[in-house]
Amino acid sequence: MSKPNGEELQQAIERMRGGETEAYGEIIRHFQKSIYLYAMYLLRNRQEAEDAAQDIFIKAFRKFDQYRGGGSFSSWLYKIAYHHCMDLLRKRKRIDKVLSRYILQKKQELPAPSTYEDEIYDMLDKLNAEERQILLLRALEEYSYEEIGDILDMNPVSARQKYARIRQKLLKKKGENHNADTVKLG
Amino acid sequence: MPTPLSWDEQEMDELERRIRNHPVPVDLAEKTLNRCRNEQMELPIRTSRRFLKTKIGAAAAMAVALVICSGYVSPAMAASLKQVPGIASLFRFADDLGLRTAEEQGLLTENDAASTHGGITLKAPVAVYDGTRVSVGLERSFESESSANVSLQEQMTSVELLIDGQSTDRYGKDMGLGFFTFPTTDKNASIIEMSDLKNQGGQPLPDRFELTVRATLAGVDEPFELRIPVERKADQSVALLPDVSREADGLSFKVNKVEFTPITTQITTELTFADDNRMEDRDRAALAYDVEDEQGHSLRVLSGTGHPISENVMVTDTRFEPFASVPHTLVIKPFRYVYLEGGDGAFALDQDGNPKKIYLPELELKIEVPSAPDKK
Repeated sequence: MSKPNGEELQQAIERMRGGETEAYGEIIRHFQKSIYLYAMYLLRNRQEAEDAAQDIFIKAFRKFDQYRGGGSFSSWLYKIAYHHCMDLLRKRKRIDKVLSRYILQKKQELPAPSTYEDEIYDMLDKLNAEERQILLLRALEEYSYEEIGDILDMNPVSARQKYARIRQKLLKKKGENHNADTVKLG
Repeated sequence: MPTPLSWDEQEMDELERRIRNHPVPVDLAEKTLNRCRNEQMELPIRTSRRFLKTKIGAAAAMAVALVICSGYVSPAMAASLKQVPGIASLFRFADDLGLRTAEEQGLLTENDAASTHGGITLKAPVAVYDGTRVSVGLERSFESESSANVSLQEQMTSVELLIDGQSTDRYGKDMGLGFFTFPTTDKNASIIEMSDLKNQGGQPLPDRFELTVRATLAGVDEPFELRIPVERKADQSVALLPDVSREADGLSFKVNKVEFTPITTQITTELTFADDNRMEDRDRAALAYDVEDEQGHSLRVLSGTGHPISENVMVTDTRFEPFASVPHTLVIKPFRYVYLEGGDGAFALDQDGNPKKIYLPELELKIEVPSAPDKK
């Protein structure tokens, strides 16, 4: 089934408010890819990302009556996604301490990450955790700085400044790579 | 003409596009929706999508659902009860020994709250509050002879509760108070029930307050609003603070509090996970328990509310039907439900169709009840 458009999404949200659980399927279909990618880029593991995306949607389902409709549903959902992924990363840190990287490596075995993904990870590696969040929210949902500020609990002006810094960082990196390639060719 | 993008803007645009358009197949809708459907079935019919129990709630919530499915007052019994002079309250027809007792002992608050829209009148003629739960009886009637095929329970599409005109959020911990709705044998009646989270970090409800019920019924645009005076009747209530616990397999199971009222037996338990790395196993480690007196009489579970009070500690209030009299000894028998492999949280059933349980005798607790426990 195809992804519902904005109007269909709004109707699905209203139907959910009216108690129609099945309408939630349309809401999931609308956001599933972007929420999955958001989790995947943060967790760097496809299986964990799939589990996380499901858990995020379940959490939103449980809390649905807390969404009061004042702001966008999308940024409300991403707020849940942000906290969920942060929790998972914190837990993973603890597990890492005890079990080293063995478990994560086992989980990474299938499927192999693609070059496409590697290139994006390479860019994300140049950023700190907060900058990665800002970039992903801009890229996946084209959020305004106000919306990013709302999701990350950050001043919108600060979000704008940080985004400018991200751009400088990434373009500097890209410039360095470009120069290196030119030198090799030369 | 739009301003052309600068080089760096184009580069960023390209990077963001690559992030967004990653060619990865994702199809989570059906399996996620299945989990939502399952979770919804685990609770008694919910008009709110708020989950009363978080994390370890599934097991106890399932038990609640079982109570709902296990049978109502038979139509014959309902008919005979209707003939008893002086008994008119819909609590008589609830599948809840506590509410039937409340009526027999005159613990109810009667009121004439009513709201009419679209030819339907909704009334809230009775309410009771014993310090552990607020139960409100709702009745539906029609102006014309034609009546709906669907029950009141099914027709209610949303319900909102207010306390003294304010949101219940200030009494909840971080998500407000939830509520249950229960059917009765009469399809034109339903019971709404709410409990505070005072044992889980929330605020206690006041002894007296006005409860507002805002309900929307399918087919009627305007919401029904009922204002119901609620008063706590706690004269015969007793509370124990046993502070007993057992530990096994990285879990500590503790009983913090036992409350006996003529309507309810509420037990507050605390489950502590000794090891941080067991966090992800919490759903699987979900415990429910049977409660028995010294003669082996077991209580039926009614509902439960649970909350994490810290990263590793879950506190849960579980409400059972009342004992006929305060027992000498309480035996708490924890168990785990058995889940189907790959069944998204579905319970495995025994040959009689009941969920399979694995009892955990190493966590079993025995509580001696003093002959004259403290009155609340």
